[in-house]
Amino acid sequence: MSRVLVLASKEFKSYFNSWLAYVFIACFVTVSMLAHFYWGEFFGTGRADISPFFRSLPLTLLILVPGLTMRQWARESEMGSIELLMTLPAQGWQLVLGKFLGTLGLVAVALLCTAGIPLTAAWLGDLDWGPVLAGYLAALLLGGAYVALGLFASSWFREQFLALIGSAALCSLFGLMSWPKVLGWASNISETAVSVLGFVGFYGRFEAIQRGVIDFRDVAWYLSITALFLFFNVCRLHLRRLA
Amino acid sequence: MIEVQSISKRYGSFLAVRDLSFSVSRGEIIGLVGPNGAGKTTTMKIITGYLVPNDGRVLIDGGDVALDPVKAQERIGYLPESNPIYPEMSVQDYLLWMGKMRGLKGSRLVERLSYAVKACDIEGRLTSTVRTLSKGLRQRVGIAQAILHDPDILILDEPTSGLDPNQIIEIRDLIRDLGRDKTVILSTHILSEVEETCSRALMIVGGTLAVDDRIDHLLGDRTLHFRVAKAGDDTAELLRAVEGVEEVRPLDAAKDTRRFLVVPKDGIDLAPALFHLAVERGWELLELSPARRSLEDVFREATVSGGVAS
Repeated sequence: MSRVLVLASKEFKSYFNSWLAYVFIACFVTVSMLAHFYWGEFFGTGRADISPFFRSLPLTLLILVPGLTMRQWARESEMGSIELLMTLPAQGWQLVLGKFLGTLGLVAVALLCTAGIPLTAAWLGDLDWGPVLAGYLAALLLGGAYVALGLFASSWFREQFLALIGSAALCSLFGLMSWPKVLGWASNISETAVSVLGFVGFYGRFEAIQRGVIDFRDVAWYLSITALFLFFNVCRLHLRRLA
Repeated sequence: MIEVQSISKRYGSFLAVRDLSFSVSRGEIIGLVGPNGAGKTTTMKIITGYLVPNDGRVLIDGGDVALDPVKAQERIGYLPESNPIYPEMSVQDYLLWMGKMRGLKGSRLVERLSYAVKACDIEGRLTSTVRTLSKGLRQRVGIAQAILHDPDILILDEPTSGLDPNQIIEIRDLIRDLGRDKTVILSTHILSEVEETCSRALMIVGGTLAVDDRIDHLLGDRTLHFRVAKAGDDTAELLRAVEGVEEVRPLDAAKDTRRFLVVPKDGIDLAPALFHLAVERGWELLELSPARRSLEDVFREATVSGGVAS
């Protein structure tokens, strides 16, 4: 386990070494504030309601997380440092988990930096903190799932730009599958399609948790997708040795 | 200690290594030489467990590397050919991180770090960012990383590339020093390096082993140059008849003189016998000297003919 943490903290720090972390956090906070105060017309509603912010999170994470994961495995392949990494006395799962936690750590920091939004709401009015905490939990679970998907996609590419496209495509597939618009189109085809998309996709489950309804099945679904793609990533590393 | 048992590695339709076998015992320094693309780097990648061979296996003290890479990797220090180091890290952060990933911690980590840094002469550049280092410095950081955890086995892919002549000598001395109690496999293009550093040379040509011999054998310590005047056409036959002669190779023949390379059977000194033969036959002995072949000659013979050099 200590190797996992050593790798995770190195990955976390190296985001900050390359300024990527600052840009990521700045974009994340800016988009969230715009979504909340400007497009969400927070001041117009006259209520201490921060649901515009949470409604924007699935899209913000979907756009920004692939920018973090693209540099992981693809960059190691590009630089050749994957050779050193894979000849360290570490199991494949330790490497994958280390990279996952390092990246998720940065997502968590970015989420923490948006704390100004609920704090403003609490200062102006009477904010119900239960749904806020649930919303952050949902965002972290969703972020984790995107990181796992993005890392897996990144492991198939040698160039970071292709890894970005690959990560974004895979994350969008899961992220947008149960978007209300998509479900609307699917309802023209069949009811089964709607229920399958609604089950597999991330959006509906995020909605539920963010409203404060923490259903064990929703949490378990995010965790399973995350674990599944981390496992695929480990398999991918083993496949590399055979290539 | 290391047993490479008939490994083959295929990249798509290209067979990079075919049926390669050799073994290395503790304390040996092996020089892996051969033309570009001969399979040296692939062989090293297989020994370190980075690649799994399509056929055959590598055993380290009896354990199959492909089945339990981590067990082997704990004992191996590896410098890959491309010497990849994260450009945004400082030298010290990088080495500390590598040490921790290899399970070093506390005072042992500090102790090993200061040893490696001193041995590779990079003490003055610990706080430099890797991006700003010259190629030679980067190479020395790569070597420091490989010896950091005091491994039994060192696999160094072109360790002296990018170094200036003084640094090359320092790194060679370091490798020789490490080779006293460690097993070292290094690859290089500089054949004189193998002559000076290694105890044994493995020459790989076209993915197979062309030469596997001790350096002193390869260089033919006791092979003689023999040049006489006033000798007949049967000189070569007469030389071959001398006891202890393995092989006689006619070299250039000038107007009156004939020159031969005389290879003895294992370790025999032929000089007295050749001298007596010359006296007996009334030849004028012009030269009787040790013929140190260079490794370049061996290399050329093995690569041009594709056959096995003597």
